[in-house]
Amino acid sequence: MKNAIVFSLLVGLTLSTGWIAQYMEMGRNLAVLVMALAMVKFSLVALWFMELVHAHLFWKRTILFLGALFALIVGGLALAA
Amino acid sequence: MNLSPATVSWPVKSELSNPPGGLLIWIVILLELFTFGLGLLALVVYGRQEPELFQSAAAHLDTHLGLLNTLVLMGSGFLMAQSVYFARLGNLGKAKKWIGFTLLLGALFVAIKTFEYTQKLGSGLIMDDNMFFTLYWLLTGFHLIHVVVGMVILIVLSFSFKSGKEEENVENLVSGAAFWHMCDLIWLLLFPALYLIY
Repeated sequence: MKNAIVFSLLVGLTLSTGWIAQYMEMGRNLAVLVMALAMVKFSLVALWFMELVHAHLFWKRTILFLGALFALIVGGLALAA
Repeated sequence: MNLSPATVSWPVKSELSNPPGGLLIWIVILLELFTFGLGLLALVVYGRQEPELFQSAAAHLDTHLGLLNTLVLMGSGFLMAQSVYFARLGNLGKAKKWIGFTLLLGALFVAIKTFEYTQKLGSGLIMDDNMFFTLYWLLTGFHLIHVVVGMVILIVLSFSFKSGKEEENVENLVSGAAFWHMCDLIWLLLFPALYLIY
């Protein structure tokens, strides 16, 4: 049941991302928003589907930090371009 | 009857040296995230140097196909999680069935990607066309190889379930599932970086 809820959230976020990118005129802020949404999806997949929620804090922190770092770099550099 | 994963007889361990699926697969996942992360870094750094070129090159990518592939991969991730769920309940028959569905969506992802590649090749958008397409082919091609390897792992796993060795079956399946979900994680960063932000 929880898998289905997480999946519904992922689909909703993915469609929202596509809609925002296609129809909203956000200029360079688009990169930040899109990468922030990607990070939310990344966290949902890592924590729930990959069962990281049950793992040691080290693994949670490391994987989420890496995902956030790269999302921040991509969004941040695109914003600053 | 509550069938949440917390009720199964072998709880997920939370020791530092024993993450879900085993230590080795998580070391692989960390290395893969680093590798693709550096590729993304290259993409944005070169994108800053030649913003017009990257903008015009990215306009050749089909966002709808990228979005469809994201949904397909998310769907396969859900089916894989369901497979692990049923394996933890000791229902290997259902676990195998969900692996089969996962493989179908994996095959659909490969088919859509192949269609997209055929379109790009037909338009002459090859790897040495410009820096954007060099990185596009490298990153998505490398990711596609991972998806195909993930499918092979799942096929092997579904034929290697042993009766009476439930704990071993689940541990192997969780490892394979972690590899599969890693493909989701990487795509979740690749898709917006390549298809949406330029």
